[in-house]
Amino acid sequence: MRMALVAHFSTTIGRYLATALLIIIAALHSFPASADISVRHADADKYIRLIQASHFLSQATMGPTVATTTALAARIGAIGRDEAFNEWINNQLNKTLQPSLIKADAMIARDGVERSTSHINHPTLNLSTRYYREFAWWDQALFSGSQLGERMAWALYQIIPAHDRDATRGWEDNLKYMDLLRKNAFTTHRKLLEDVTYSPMMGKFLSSLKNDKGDESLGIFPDENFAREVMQLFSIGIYDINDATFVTDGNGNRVESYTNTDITQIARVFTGLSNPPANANQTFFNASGTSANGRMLMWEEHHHQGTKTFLGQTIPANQSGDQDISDTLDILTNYKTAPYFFSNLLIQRFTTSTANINYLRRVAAVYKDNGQGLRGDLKAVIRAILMDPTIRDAFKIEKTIDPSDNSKTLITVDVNIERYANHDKQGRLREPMLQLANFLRFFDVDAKEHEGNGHQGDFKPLWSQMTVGQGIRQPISVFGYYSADYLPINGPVANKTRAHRPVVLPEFELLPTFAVPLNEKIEEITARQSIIQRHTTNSVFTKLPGLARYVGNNSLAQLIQDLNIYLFSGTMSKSLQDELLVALDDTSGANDRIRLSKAVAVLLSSADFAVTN
Amino acid sequence: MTDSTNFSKNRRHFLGDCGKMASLAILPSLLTFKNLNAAVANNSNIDGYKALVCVFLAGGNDSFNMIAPYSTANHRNYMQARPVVGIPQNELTPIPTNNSSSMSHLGFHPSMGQMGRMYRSGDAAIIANIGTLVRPTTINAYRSKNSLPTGLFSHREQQLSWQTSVADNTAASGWIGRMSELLNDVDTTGADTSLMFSLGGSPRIMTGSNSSGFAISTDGANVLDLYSDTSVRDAYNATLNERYTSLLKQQYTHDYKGIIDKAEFYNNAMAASNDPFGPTAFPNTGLGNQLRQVALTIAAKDSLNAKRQSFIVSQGGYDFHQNLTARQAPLLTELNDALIAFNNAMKTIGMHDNVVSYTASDFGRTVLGNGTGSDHGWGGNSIVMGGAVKGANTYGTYPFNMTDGGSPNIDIGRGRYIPTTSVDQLHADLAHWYGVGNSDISLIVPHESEYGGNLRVGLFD
Repeated sequence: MRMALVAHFSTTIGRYLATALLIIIAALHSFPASADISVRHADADKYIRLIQASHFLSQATMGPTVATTTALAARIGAIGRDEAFNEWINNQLNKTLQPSLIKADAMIARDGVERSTSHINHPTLNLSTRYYREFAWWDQALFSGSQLGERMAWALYQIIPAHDRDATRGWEDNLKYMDLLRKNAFTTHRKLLEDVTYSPMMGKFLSSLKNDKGDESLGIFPDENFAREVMQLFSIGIYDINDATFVTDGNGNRVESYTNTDITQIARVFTGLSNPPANANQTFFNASGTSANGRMLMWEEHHHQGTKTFLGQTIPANQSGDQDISDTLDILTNYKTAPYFFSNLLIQRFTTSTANINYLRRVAAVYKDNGQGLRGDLKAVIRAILMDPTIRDAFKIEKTIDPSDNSKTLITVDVNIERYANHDKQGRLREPMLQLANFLRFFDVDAKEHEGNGHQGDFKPLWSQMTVGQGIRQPISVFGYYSADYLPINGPVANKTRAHRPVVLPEFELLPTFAVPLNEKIEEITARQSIIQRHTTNSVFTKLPGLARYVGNNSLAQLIQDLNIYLFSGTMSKSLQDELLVALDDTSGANDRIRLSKAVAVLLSSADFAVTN
Repeated sequence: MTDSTNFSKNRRHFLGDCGKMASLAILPSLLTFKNLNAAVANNSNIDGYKALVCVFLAGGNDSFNMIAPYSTANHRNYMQARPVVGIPQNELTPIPTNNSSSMSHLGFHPSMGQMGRMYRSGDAAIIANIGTLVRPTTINAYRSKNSLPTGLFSHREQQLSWQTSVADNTAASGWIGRMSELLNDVDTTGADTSLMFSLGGSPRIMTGSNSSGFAISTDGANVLDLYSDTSVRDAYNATLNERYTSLLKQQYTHDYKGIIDKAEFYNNAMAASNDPFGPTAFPNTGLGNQLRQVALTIAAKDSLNAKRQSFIVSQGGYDFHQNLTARQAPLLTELNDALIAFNNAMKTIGMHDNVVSYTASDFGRTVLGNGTGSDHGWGGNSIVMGGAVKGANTYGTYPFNMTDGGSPNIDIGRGRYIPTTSVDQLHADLAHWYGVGNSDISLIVPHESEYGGNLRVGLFD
């Protein structure tokens, strides 16, 4: 073995002593988990602004790029940090997300693929129309300028999923459902739930489509499926919450908000929905038409006419089905746990898996009232999530004179801000799709790379979903890809959790599924796209367009520093950087693509990349 | 081995996981248990090889259609309760409820005719109306919400309860996880060997206080080319030795540490073992391929250095609120074919008496339907299979009278049945067979004392 991995301690004994010393230091102080970035004095503030900007963009977009980070950092310089972020948010909230179906149609037309809902292969491109549901998603996620909206739509899909196989009219239904979420990215929780409730794809997924009122005297009851999940997963949760804390009983167990009787009652509400009839002979049970607004239709004669009593409230008998649904969604979104439950789901998708209590209180307060009396306003909620001081001030960024070169300033990012109660529990694991998107955006994957390869452009990652274990439109169940309350049972987190305020790590539920870290998966995906050449074990990401700018002298150090600033928000461990430099640097200083790509592979496998603070 | 250091170490691990979410109800039994090292060391059952396979049917299998009433009067009642989704008597494969009876009380689903014949041959048993319980529960106790499982009728909570055997604590460790840690304490030969295998996901069942199931795929463990490069591999391993204040980063490195070495160890051991089954022994289905990998791993037990191995495989999609009849049949066919193949495979390698498999699911479903489907219920039926099982018997109490109101002591509405046998009771039998001494059963089934002398189902001699 050529290299010593822990180069700064040349002997085993030295390493041992150093480790012992570090343990002592860690016991006395917070361990400095941060990186040091050494820059010219004149550049120091610019780099600090870059770190602030990339930290924000790592939470608000599908991934920071050099261009977007630089632009936002410049605005921080011009008008101040929070002003720049608010300006960026304002700008994003005013953008309209392009419907995925329109994007897919444009791509299909340009590629000359036959427009079909079934699996028809293009004669030379080995592409079927249905693949375009994925192509459109990727194209928009990676290249759309409406990055906050893209991130929000992806968040909503993870919270309120519907599965591919329930697309009744082929692949288009998938895109229509995704477009429903995209359209509601910045509406209200109430409006979002209404559109979801009437969506035929959701109706198929949770069997509210063609759900008849039944006849209890004959032992036929309303289907409880959507009723149960809309409460448990999309609006209020099963556990009682008081002031951002789970209510517990005398044994320390959580108290549930409702019983199965509530479920059987609310199940009556979601009866009577089916497709519109396509012809005069069709009935509720075989209707196959499509309405102009894309919604399921209420068939009043199949809607349960009785009273519905749940959550301590009663909806009177003999109302119209649509009125029952409207009243029910009002009750759910006005229920006392909704502001905490739903805000927390969104917080988990953007900033931290476990929210500190004051943070959750502040966001929930905005859910309750956006300042103009509107409840559940997603625009206000997402701003509150991103701009909270717990999140924005999570890093302490400091400048000192570099002791090894006094012409330079050392920038230190300390993620361990102890003034927040939950400082060591804050942050989230980037989910696999987001890791992949972050990586592809940073390395400038673009359409042109595929030209001459039989494709007309666009990033077309076939089968990426299965490969990273998080398929677009293929959630594992109605719980999505992971449970919002997943917590590891062994390991460091397990000792820190409490019933009333658990430490949860939803995305960790996926980790052992992709038992090898993501970079291997990325290799597999990108290999299919000829971004990399995979014929030898030594070529990893060598054809990445963004890698080219690092080939040459001292480029490994530059690559590591740039990844640290743009993808790690300055949190890359110093020892990790040193180890990589020693392990991979060529003594001649001439770094080739292979060496650089190995560094990328290791860095993307590290906890520093996987976890955003 | 009565050293007090070991004792406190072990007690810490068990308290560490069961006690942390403050389910106080279970603490007394844990605080008073005896020296477990001594108990295990004295247990002669730890000798020899045994494997346990949990076949998880995710989504809530409608197991009153998997195993339905057959005798004429009971079947008529069943059809009255299930006019749309009930299965006609002449399509069921009839079976007796005990091996000395010539009567046919129950019938297997038409997709599972072979399974029915296997049951009759004595290779399999049924546990009737089994489900999650904190303690034996009456209808009145249910109505007064006295000691009920957390999150009844919810997929997630009920899946967890089946896997933890601690129905009132969703944060408890997995019952097989606890058991493997207990037995591994004295199994020095397997100290570095993973005993628990999961085909997909990170199921709670295989999660102990210090160890987790090792995820393998139907092709083996995933190690790709990148790590054959020493510099990359060493650098990667170094990232796992970073020390972080962030709990998330600590957890991340904890979860990945050693995973490449384990994967290589597994793959090398598998490569050193021949495939005794051949390419057509298992159906080429999701479950068939998973059970094939399980069978191969069992066949490689010597090169894996294992005296005990446990596995979880799963088959999803059972949540049929609509179109139950058409959609359940192909899943049960897949289940039937895979279980039959696995049973034969164990005979092929002479392991039939050493391996026990059982089915688990989120919950049973409402007997009274909602049209063409059924909703989330509670008690349901499980299959237990293997040479050691006293087969051709149905254990527990099957709810034969399925008319609306026909089983008033267990029916909480719509034919949602309070289980008459607890998941804990099944686990107690399985744990004892696997090698856990009587005095340690409470570590595996913390609510043991709720069952008094009725804990054991009697599946094994």
